[in-house]
Amino acid sequence: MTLSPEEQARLERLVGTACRELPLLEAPRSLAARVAAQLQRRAAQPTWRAPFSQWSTGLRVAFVAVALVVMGATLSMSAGPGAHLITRLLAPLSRVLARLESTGALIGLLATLCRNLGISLLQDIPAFWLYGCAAGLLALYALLAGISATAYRTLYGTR
Amino acid sequence: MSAYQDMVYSTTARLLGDDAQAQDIAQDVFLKAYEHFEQIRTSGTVGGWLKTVATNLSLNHLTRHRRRWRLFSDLQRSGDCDSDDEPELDFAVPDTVLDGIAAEERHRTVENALRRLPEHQRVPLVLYHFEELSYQDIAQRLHVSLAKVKTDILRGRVSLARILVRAGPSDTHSETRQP
Repeated sequence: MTLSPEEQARLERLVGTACRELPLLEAPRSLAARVAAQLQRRAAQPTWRAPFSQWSTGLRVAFVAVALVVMGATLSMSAGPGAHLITRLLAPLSRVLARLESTGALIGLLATLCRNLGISLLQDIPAFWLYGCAAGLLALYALLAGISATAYRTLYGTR
Repeated sequence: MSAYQDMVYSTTARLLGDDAQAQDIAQDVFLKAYEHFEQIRTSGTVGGWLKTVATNLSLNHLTRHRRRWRLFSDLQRSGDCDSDDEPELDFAVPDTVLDGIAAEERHRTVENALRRLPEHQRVPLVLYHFEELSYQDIAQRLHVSLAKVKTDILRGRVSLARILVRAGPSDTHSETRQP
């Protein structure tokens, strides 16, 4: 840093003066219309699509009350005489889980077959080809990064 | 809204350096104001509230944008080290640099020069000279070191002064310090 403190102070004064005397930029005329349109669009949306903080107080209280009732009912049913009802309600779910389990076993078998096949293929392919493929992939990755960086510099870097 | 839209737009446009993004953020500012209408209507500091929200939303927007493009920005910065991005600081500015230019032309020149500054120089410079934040506050807001803020602002001033000298009367063009 080769500017002396006096020169830096002079530069600060100069830039400060230039900035202070700038008038406000005139906002585009479309800004007010855009805000109004956005507000209308929001007003046309149903209440439940608005953020929870924007719901009316009564609605928020009612929602919390209903949620508490549902939670309490669920807990009492699972611990008391309603437990049998819950088991019946969840029966379809347990059947689905059993099917998923058998599907998982099948997928595991297929994965084992693929792995064995891959190992035998890898043993047959010369190492030169494997290293060549890896180098090719790295070169393609570098090329993609280079193209992306050039695109960024062209599209955004000049702004 | 009409009383404050120029102020809000100026804040977002100078921080972001881009008209389209500035309009988007200014719109968000007024939507937030609408959401907090009851709160700010009675506060009596509507202008200050709007300016603070405009500054915060602009900085948030820049942070998101920076995160998204960090890799490429780094690539760009390392590739552009010899450009105007990091100007030589060995540069003296004549006091009369702004004297010979008509006010309107001067305003346009300064606004354009601000927009041409790289983001890491423009943002702290605007926060210091327009929002009147201290170096310490700027460092906290931007999550960078105090030294970096000072350096970036100084480099921003030098860049700005260079542009002003180039745009100024012809007799000031050669008034750079000789080694």
